[in-house]
Amino acid sequence: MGKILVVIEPNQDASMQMFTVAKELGGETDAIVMNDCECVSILPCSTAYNFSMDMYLPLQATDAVAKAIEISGATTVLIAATQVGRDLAPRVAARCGGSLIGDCTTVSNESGSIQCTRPVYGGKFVATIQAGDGLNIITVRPNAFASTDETGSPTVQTIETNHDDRETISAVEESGTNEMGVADADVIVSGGRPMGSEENFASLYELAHLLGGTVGASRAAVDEGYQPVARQVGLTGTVVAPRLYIACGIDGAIQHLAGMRGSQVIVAINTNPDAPIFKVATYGCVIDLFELVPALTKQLQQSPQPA
Amino acid sequence: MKILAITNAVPDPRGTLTTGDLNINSGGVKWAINPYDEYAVEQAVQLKEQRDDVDEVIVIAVGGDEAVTALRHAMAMGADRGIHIVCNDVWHDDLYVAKCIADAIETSGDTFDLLLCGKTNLSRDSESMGPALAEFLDIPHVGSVITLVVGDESATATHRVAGANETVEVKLPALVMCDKTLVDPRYPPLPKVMQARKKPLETIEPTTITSKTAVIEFNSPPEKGACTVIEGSPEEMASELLRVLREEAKVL
Repeated sequence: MGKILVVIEPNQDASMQMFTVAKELGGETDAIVMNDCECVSILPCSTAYNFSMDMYLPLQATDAVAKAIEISGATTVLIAATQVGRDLAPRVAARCGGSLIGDCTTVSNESGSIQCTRPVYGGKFVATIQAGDGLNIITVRPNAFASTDETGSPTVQTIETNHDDRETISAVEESGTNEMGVADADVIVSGGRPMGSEENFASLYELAHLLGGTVGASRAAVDEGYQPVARQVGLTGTVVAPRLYIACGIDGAIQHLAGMRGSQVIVAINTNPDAPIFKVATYGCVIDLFELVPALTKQLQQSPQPA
Repeated sequence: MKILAITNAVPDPRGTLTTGDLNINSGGVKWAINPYDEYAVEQAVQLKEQRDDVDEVIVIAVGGDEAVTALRHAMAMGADRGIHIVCNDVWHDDLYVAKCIADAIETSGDTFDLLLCGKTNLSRDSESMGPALAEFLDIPHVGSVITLVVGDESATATHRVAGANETVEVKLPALVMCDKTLVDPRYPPLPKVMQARKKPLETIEPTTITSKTAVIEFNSPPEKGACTVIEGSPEEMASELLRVLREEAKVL
C-alpha cells in the first residue's frame, strides 16, 4: 500500500473516520486540514498539512489538496463524503489525473489493490468497484466506519494557496437556526404527512435533539409545507445513510425508501402494519406516532444520552 | 452567449432492475431524463427566453440509445440541438463522462459561457460529474444551486450549506449544478415533442479513454433481517425501543 492522504474538514467527525479507513488499508498516512485548526498538531498521521481558507471554495481547496498530494507522494486520498467532500473530490481527481470512487460504504485492501462498494440506482444495487492504477481519490459515506480518538504528533507543514478571483463568496445568510443538515446527521427523526402541521414537527425536533440528531421529512410533508425542501429525504430530496433513522408516520414510497434504506438502523413508527416502510425497518412500532414520540421524549429526558 | 445543458437518462425508479454478473439488465425498463437535469434544461431555456443575447442552448449526453430519450426530452423543453456521445459500456464513471464531454467541447470549437447540469445523477447516485467537468475545462463551479442570476461576465448563485444559504459569485464561463426549486421544469406538450424529433442531433464517438475504475460485480443489497416488532403500551414500547437501540443495535 502506498502513501495515504486523509482530507480533514475541521470539526467534522466524518473526516476523523477516514483515519480508521486508512488504518484498515494499511499504509503510511498523511493528512491535510482545510483551514487553520488547532487539531492539526495532534492528528494521528506522519505529516499534517494545513492551509488558510475561511470558507470552502472549490478552486482554492482543489489547489491546496493537489499540492499536498504532490508533496506527500500519496497514491490514495480519502475524503469523507460530506457536502464539501463530494464537491471537492471530483475536482481533485480531475486535476491530478486520478480515478474517483465516490460515496463508498466499504473500502478494503485486496492483496494490494483497493476495492470499494457503493450503492447505485437509488440503493437498489451495490456495485463493487476496483480502483484504478495510480492515484485514487475515494470518498466514504459518513458513519460507514467508526471514528477514532487516537492522536499523534505529526510534522506540520503549511501549504500556500491563493484565493482564485474567479470564485468569491458574496453573502452568507444564516437560515435562522444552527440546525444541522440531513446529509451530515448521525441520527434523523423523519416525519410524514400525518404530522399534520409545521407546529407538530416541534416534537420531532425535541426528540431528534435529545438523540443528537436532526429532523427529516417525507416528500408529502414537504409538499404540504410542514418542512422546507432542504429537509426532504428521498431520491429527489437528499439521500441519507445515518446511524439511526426513525420514520414517524411515513408509509415509505419507493423514492423515500431509496433515499434512506442505507441507514444502519431503521425504526418505523406507523399505524398501518402493511406500510412498505416496515419492509426496510429494523424495528417496527405499530402505533400512532403522537402516542409514542412523547413517551420516547419523556424517557430520554429522564435518562439522557451520554454526550 | 451559448449555454450547454448536460443530461443523463436514468431508469424509471418504479421499474424492475435485475443484476447479472457484470451487468444490470435494463431490458424492458423505461428510461427518462434524470429529474435534476430537467432543472438544468429549464434554467437554460428560460435564460434564452428572457435574454436577447443567448444564441443557442445545446444539450449533451453520454450513453447508449437511452441517452437519446433524455436529449429529445430536453429539446422538447426548448433546447435547440443535441449532441450524443455514444458509449454502450454498462458502467461508466463520472470522471469518464466528464472527460468525454470536456473533449467533445474542445473538439467542437464551441465556446460556452454557461454550463448547467443536475445536482445529482440518480442512476450512478452521484454528484461528481459537474465538478469534474468544471475542472477539466478549468472553470469555476457552484454545487446545489437554488437561485441563479446570470450577468454578462459573472453569475451569482445561491446554494445551501450547513445552516445557511451561501451566495457565490463566479466569473463566466462557469458550471452551475441545479437543485430542486431553482426553476419549475415545464412538461412539453405533444406538438413540442413532435418538433423536437426534427431538431438536429449530432452523434459522436467518445474519445478513446475508458473509465479508470472497473465494476467487478453488481449485487442486491444485503437483505435486512425481518423487522422486529415492538409491542405494548406507548410507555412500554418506548422503553423497549430505547433498550434495543442501546443494547442490541448499539446505535445510542
